[in-house]
Amino acid sequence: MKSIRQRLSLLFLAGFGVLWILAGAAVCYSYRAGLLAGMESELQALARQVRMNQMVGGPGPGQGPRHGGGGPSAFDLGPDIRWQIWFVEDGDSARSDNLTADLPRLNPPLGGSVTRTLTLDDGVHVMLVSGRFGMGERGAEVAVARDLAGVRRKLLGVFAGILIAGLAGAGVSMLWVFRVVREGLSPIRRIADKVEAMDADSLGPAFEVDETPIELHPIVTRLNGLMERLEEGIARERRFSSDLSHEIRTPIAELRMIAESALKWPEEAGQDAWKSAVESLDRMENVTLAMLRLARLERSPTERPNENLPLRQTIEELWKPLSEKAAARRLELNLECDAEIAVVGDPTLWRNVLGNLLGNAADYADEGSQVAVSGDRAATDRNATVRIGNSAGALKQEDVARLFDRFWRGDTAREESAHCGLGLPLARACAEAMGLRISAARRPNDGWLEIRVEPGDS
Amino acid sequence: MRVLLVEDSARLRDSVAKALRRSGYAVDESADGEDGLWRAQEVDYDAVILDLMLPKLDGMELLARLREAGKETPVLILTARGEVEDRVAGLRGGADDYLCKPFALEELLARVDALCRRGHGRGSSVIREGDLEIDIDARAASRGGEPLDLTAREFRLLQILMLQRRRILSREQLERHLYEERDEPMSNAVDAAVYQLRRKLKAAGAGSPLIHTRRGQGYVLEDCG
Repeated sequence: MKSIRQRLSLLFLAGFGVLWILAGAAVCYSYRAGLLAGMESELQALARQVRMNQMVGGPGPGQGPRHGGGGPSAFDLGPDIRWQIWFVEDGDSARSDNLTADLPRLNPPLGGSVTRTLTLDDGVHVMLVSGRFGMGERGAEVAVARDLAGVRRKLLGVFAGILIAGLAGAGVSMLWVFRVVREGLSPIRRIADKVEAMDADSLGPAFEVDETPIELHPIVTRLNGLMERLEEGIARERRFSSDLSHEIRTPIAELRMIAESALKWPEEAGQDAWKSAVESLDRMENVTLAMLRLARLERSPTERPNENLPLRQTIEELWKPLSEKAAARRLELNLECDAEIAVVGDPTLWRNVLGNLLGNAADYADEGSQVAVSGDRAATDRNATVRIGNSAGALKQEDVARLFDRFWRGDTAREESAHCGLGLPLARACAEAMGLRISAARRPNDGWLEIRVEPGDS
Repeated sequence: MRVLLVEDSARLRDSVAKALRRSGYAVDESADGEDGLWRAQEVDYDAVILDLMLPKLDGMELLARLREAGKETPVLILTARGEVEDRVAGLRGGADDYLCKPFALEELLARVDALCRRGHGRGSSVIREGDLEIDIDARAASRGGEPLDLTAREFRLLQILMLQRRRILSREQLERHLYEERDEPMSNAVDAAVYQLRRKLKAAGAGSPLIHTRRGQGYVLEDCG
């Protein structure tokens, strides 16, 4: 496909070409019409002159008048003028010397004239004006013809002038069109250059909206938005790769250090070393299993059981193993949920969701605070909405958006090997696998964090 | 030689610190970026081993602030980030070396040795003064061709004296390089260590004494023979 610049240039040039041709044709036509009109007037005047000459006497010697002595005689108006007069009185006629045959009679009305262009018997293309003058016996019909070769010569000269001017104009137009098109398309060119120069390290809102023509504002605004989202996505992907690398490479490094140290200094290979090795293996196992679970959940949806799970009872069951840790951190569970409320879906996935959320709350709620769990059902045909809230003073407001990112952990969590930052992403994947939506919000004034699991269509 | 190890993984930190200590280094440990930066600014370490993904303060930020503060301590980045751009960013950010996890123990030790040597303006691992020779990489010392049987701390003392030979080192300087933060050495610990080292050097060779006391100033290792 041709470039926009080429296409626009061709279209402009074609347009200019047509305009030049039409303008040239109009000029030629007007000029010709002017010439013919002038010639017609001239011939009409000459016709009157011929009649006067032939009826009352001519200006030159030997050109005697019909009334007042002498018969019709030659009356020379020039080599390219031919004339003929027909007298009513006797039906006789007189004609110029350069006329070898009679001119055609056009029967003009009395006092009027008729004009024709025609080719005479001798092959000369002429304009013929015929007029009728006088009444009664003094009446006469006069025809005057003039060769059109002069008109053609003049027209050819004008046409040549127009052609030369047209060619020069076309050249100037071409330069002008190329310049205008280049100038007009320069904002698009600049955008294209910027896009071409972009890579993963130079995304973000790259285009200045104020410097862009209004027509391109929607494109540039959308592009900027797209770039921002792309940058966020790439940054998130990089963080994920970096975190995954950290979570996998670090325990491998630990194991390797333990093994190499034991080989180099066998006296170091005591029980502590083996315990550390097992802990490293546990960490690797946790990360690997969580990643596999996530991968399975994100695969194409499979047939899942759809059962009722009593919410209150399930929460109590899941909180029991956490209660010791919660007591150590002086956390109190406040469960507001009627016994008959049930959540619907895959019981295993629901336990995964609720278990991860409760475990997270037990680990990261502010010490001596409350973990509030509530469940309600807006309608009988809809799934229940579950809210798990706790005070999270250490969590920054800007971190809320990253809570469900894989491997994201607050600073306080990073030192703990029990968490690898996959609990909340797993909870989200499980919820989404059941068509549920999971979201987090934090009240800026008191740092209360609430995670809500609700039907996906609400 | 005294190094600072900044690593958030407790198990890796423990095992690396143990290996370094067994190789003759005094090691201070730090589990987060803020603490690591504070230590690196407070103490003149011979080298810093720095993880990048640290709690409280990212390793790259720590490094930048350390360099901003004018500290030229050699830094080895020890991280899971192994991409070319990460390594380039680390080295351009002021690090002297970069090692990706997982790594071989011997490679880590060799790189730390090289960093410490470079920090003292030495390129080779073998240093000679008179008939005394030490090979830092091989952790071996000999006098007149006779191998010396040194403890880790004695080797460390000899190493710092050889790296800065013919220069007077105060007791405080030697103490800073020899002992870890947790050691809390006795007030005469440096003198005692120097005494032991002198004794072993003397036993190994018939040459002139190499370690000299400069009264009120400290010690200097120099072959005056």
